[in-house]
Order: sequence, then C-alpha cells, then structure tokens
Amino acid sequence: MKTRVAVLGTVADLHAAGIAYDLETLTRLADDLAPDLLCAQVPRDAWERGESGGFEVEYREALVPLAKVSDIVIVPVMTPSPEPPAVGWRRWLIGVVDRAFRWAVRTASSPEIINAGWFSHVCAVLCELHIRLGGALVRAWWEASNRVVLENLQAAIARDPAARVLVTVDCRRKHGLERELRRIAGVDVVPYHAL
Amino acid sequence: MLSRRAVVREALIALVRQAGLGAREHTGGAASSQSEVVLVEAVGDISRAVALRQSDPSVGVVVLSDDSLADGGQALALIEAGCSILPPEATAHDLLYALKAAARGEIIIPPALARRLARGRAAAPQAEAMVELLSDREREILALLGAGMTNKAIAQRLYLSVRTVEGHVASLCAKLGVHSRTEAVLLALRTGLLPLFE
Repeated sequence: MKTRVAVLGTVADLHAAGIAYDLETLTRLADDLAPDLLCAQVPRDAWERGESGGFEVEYREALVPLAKVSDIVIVPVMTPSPEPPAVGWRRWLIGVVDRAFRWAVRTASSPEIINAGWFSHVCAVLCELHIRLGGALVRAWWEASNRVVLENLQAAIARDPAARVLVTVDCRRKHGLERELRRIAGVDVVPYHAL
Repeated sequence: MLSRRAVVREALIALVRQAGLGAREHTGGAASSQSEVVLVEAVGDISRAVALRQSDPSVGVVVLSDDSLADGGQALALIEAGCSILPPEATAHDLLYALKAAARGEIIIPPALARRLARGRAAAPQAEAMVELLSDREREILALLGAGMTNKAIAQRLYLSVRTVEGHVASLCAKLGVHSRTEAVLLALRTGLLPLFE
C-alpha cells in the first residue's frame, strides 16, 4: 500500500492581493480535499508553542483556522530559521527575479494554473535563479530547508502510512519537492485534485 | 513514648504503667539502650518513626496512626521499616498487645490495612500484563485518553491522522476487553497502569 501525497503550491502574501487564488479559495480547496495530514511549511517549534503570528498569511488566516474546525491534522515541516538576506548587487537582482515571480503569479491567478505542471517548472526556474543570484548563504539555506522539509515529510509518512497527505509549500518549491517525493518507495505522488 | 502533645504522652505513659510495664517520655533522637519499644504518635508525618527503626533496628516501634495512613504508600514505608501500626480506633487493649508484640520483635498491622495493601499488590501483575498487551503507541494514546484528550487533540499532539488514532483506540479497547475509551481509562486507573493523580 502506497501513501498518497499531493503537493499544493501556495503564494504567501499574494493570496491576499486580489488574485483568484485568494485565501477563501485556498480554504475551500483544502476543505474539499479533506486530507488526513496537512504537512505545512511552518516551523515546528513555533507551532508547538502556539505562536502562529509569524506564519505566512495562508497558514495564519486560512489553513490553521480550517484545521481547528475539521479533522485535518497539521504537521509542521519547515525549518525555523528565516532565509538570510542577500546583500549589495545580489539583493537588487533578486528583487528583479522576485518581481518577475509575483507578476507570473498575478497573471496565472487561479489555483489550477499555479499548480499546473508547466507553471511549476516556471516557478522552479525563477527559484533557481533566485538562489544562484543570492550567493552561497542563500543557496545553503534553500538546500538545508529543502532537506528539512523532505525529512519531516518522510517522518510523517512513516508514522502514518495509511494517511492521505496534502503538502502545502511555496509554489517555488513544488516542482523540486515532487521530484524528490517520487524517489521515495511507498509514496504515490498525485495531483492535488486527485488526492 | 514520643508525641508532641504532653497530655497524650502523660495519658499513655500512665496507661502503660498501669498495665505493669515500664514507660517514660522519649525526648527525640535515638532510643536509649534501655528502651525496648518506642510508641510514636504519627500525625501525617511518619519520618520520625522510620528514622527510629533505621537508627536502631533492635528497638520496636509502634505507630499511633491517623487517617492520613489511608495512603498505602506511607503504610508500606512503615511496614518496610519494621514498624507496627495501630489505627485511630485502637483500644487500650490493642495498644498494650501491640507494645508487647513489638518487644518480641513482631510487627502488628490492622487487618483492614493488610487487606487493602494485599489487593494493591495483587493488582500490580494486572498492570504489568496490560503493559505487555499494548503496543508503545497504544500505551501512549491510553495515557493521553487518561488526560481527557479528544481523538483530534491526540492526533494533533502525535502528528497522526484522526482515523489512525481511532484505530489505535479501538485496538486498545479490544485488547483490554472493554467497550469504550472511558472504560479503558477506568481500567487503567484501577490497575495502576495510569496514575490516579499526576
């Protein structure tokens, strides 16, 4: 028996920026999917202390409130440390890349397009550009945080292999994460709407 | 005779002397070499009685207990130290009998206390058998049930799905031979698998 896992890309503060993939749409989507486990890109230590004030808006105002009134169990999978800021010319170039990413999300707008395979590729390319331009510290942080997310996902799946798992991450991580999950024996990566 | 209350000391010394036995006030600390038995009034504090036996095991100690010895743990500590126990309802006859028995090296325990302690010991193997029956995860969930947590709260605490927790609850109930989570918790409390108070 394989564990069914779907990765849903989220867009942080852009959910509250008037796009079709807004917080209400995200809440309705997660509610309809009704996963057993929602592996969320939030840090475990802050989650266990009940400190959700620092979470991204999609968790603070949509997914955590939904979990409280449903049988959805939130599993925090993120590293607690924030991304280190780039400096100098790197910071300016990353700003350009990030504005391009935000423009792409606003243009795509709906959850279906933002989570489509081709859009994930676009996001992954922009993410890789962000990392390369950010320098060694930024690269190290992304590599470490991707590793932590994957390890925590593996632990969640091992603890409860019969669960239906929805993973919510920054849409820039979606493509790479799905690739890594497909390598894990016993995991069946499915589109979010097929969970 | 060791007691905080002068009137109690004097009354009991008089009672013992009336029965033809020697008696005097004990001034605390180690018993004198001439004392054979020390009668101790233990009101909530058994430490002096235990210390007397530990300082000189040849001295008999008889404890006049109060209702605080309903706690089996204190009673066991006294018995393990070799002290006799007289319940609050003991008569003068019981007291004299206990003093003479203690002088012979015997330990006197009220029958009701002995029965209660025996029942507690008999229950211990049940708790051990239950521990063997249940998986680690089931024991963990049983403890959280005992803390009054819902299935959702347990699932969130352990990062398991609600369905998985429901499955574990059903499994542990079946293994324990009970029909509900409440019965499972009551059984665990009764057999000592879960502590009564944290």
